[in-house]
Amino acid sequence: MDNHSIISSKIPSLGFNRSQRGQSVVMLVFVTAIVLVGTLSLFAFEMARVCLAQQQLAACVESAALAGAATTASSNSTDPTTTQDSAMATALNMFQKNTILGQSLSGTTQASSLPMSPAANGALVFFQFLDPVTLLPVPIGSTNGKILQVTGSFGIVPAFQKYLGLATSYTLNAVSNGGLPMVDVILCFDISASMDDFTLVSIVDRYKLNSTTNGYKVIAQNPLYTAFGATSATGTAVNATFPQGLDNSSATDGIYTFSSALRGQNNNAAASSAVSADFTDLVVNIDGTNTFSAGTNVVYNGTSYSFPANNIGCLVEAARGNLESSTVATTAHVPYASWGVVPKVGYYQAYLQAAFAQRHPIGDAITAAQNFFTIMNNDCDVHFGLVTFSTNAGTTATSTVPPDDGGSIGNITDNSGTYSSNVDPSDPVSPLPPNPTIDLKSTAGAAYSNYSTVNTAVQTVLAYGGTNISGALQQALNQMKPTSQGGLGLTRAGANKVIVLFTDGLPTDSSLGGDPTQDARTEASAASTLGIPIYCIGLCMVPSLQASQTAVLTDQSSNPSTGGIAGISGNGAVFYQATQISELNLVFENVARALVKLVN
Amino acid sequence: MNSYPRHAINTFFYSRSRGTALMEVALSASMLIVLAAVGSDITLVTCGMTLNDSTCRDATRAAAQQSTSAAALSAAQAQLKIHATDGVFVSQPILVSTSSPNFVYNDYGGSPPANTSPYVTVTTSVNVKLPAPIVFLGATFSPGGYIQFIRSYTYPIIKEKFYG
Repeated sequence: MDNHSIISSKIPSLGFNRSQRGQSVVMLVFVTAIVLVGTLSLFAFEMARVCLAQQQLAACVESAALAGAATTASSNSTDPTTTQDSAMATALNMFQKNTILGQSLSGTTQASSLPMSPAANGALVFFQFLDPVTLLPVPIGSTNGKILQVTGSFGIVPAFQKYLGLATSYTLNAVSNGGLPMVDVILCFDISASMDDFTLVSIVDRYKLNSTTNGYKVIAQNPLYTAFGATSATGTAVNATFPQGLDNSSATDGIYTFSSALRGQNNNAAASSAVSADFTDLVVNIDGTNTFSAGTNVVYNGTSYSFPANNIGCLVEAARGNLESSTVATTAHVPYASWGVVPKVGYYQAYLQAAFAQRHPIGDAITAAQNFFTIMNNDCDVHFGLVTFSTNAGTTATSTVPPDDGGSIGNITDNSGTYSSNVDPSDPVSPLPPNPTIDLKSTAGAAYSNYSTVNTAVQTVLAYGGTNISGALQQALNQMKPTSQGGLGLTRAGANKVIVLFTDGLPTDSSLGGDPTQDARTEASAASTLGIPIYCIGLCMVPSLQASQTAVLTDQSSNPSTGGIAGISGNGAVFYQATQISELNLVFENVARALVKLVN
Repeated sequence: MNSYPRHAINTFFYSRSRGTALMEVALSASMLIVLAAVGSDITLVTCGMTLNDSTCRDATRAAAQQSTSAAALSAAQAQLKIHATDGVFVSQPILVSTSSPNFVYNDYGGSPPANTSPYVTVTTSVNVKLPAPIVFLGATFSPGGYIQFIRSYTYPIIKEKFYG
């Protein structure tokens, strides 16, 4: 046997053959592993990238849905088509501000139908409005379209498309619904006497100019608060229209004093012969000017009533009821012929109608509240409650404001015992101003939303009395508190509970019997415990008083002893301060916008 | 017969077989190391990208709920702290800067143009340290051997400050 034979015979036992096979396998596995692991790695990376793109697309669509829904909520248009068109345009604009995998979405356009096929690295969006109850699409312009659904598509291009043999691009889709959630909202609405403090008025001393006619000395004009030189943070208790409470002007509410003696009888009587520094009449400049410089014609019950420009006497006599007939006017020494005015039945009511339309800020607040009700009703599944408050919070739909002096309210003074009311013609509200509260309804369905009821109720209110914020919040919370906690449990299951507090002043009264401001804070703490935000709207047109109102209503401090009602209630509540009457609508729209969120 | 010494045969064959085994082990081990490195790289990259994205999204969402720029910035920073990381391989997310264009709070002074929403833009970044270098992914490599991921989101401001 030669050496090779010897070696060969040894090989099997030494494992030499195994070694050769192992090397082949090792090399095969090595090469395969490089290819396989590399491919799998790239594929894993692609998958991670797709997941990331999907996540980013979802966020971009969310952003667009929120922007569109917020636009809907804060729209000042009550036309659904206009509002929805604007919402879609805003949503598209917001979508275009974002990026996906570094690709700008600025070139995104709106698709007209589903499904969408965007270009590589491009995006498309599709909008539709849903009914919040059925969650089904409705046509643009439908009042049931309260949820904006945004569908976004993005054409993702694989990073290793050629190496992995993938398609040029793949379409990713994401959907998001934006809108107002199901809401049970109670509006606490201030109807205190100060709510007409910015009505343009003339303060007048009516006296006998000569033996046959009356004279009218204009003591002051401008908004009621400034005309009276009032400085109180809680406003003035004097009112521009019934019930006027003119005797309050001698207290802390102004620098002029009402003279009951000089006023004489309310109607059908001549003026006193003495000219005085005291005033006898307070009338509204029903043309909306500071000095009644424009004049106006008022149509009441189909008849036109003339109020010539700069003729304060005409306003005074109409407000007294002395223009109801020529006989009455002549007896009262009214020089109506020289004014070019023809006395006739209805002058008093015509004046009152025009004066009510010029009440500020209560008239503007009523309009803004009604606009808020309409926006909310158009935008979401909402149920409304209303708690009006002055000295007390109303408890029923027919509640009335109690007289300040405990007696009955006269149309001129705060107490009919000190001056008789107008008896001919009669006042529009008798015997007491309305102070309505409308309870929420826990039954589901639009028929139980109270939309019409609260709109009508808020329209009837007059400015009178104090500011009982704690009582109003207590009343609202009682409606929202579950029966298991001693409340009325009038909210719907699953509904977001929200209180909106509107006031033009500071707390002056309390149903809890303590300090009005601290009691209001106590109620805010109770709201916080119940998870109910109190959105606060403060109207304050006197710059020097804005800080003190802010301190009571602010959302910047949640200290239960020193903080603001919005801040103490927490749960996302916000305080808005309007410093102009013209801002009221916008402020209420801001509240609606603040409630927007993504919905299912 | 020419005979080889027994120890020569043993030395020749036995040493080579031991070397082959070592080579197998070495190759297998290196493959395992590569596998592990690539696997952990991909995991960390994915974690970093996803974390930065979700952090940026949450920070922007939170900022969009605020009514002032300062409050928005504060809310965004609070969200960054919520998204905690190990701090070794994936750094804590941070705001790239608090000024434009990385942080923008534009409420248009309360009067946005038609069909435009007030918005807030937040930009965050995360540094990911990879166990093994990767030369693709389109990421930015910082000098310290980190990959930096940057993400911006723009959301509508919902609770606007009221400008009277």
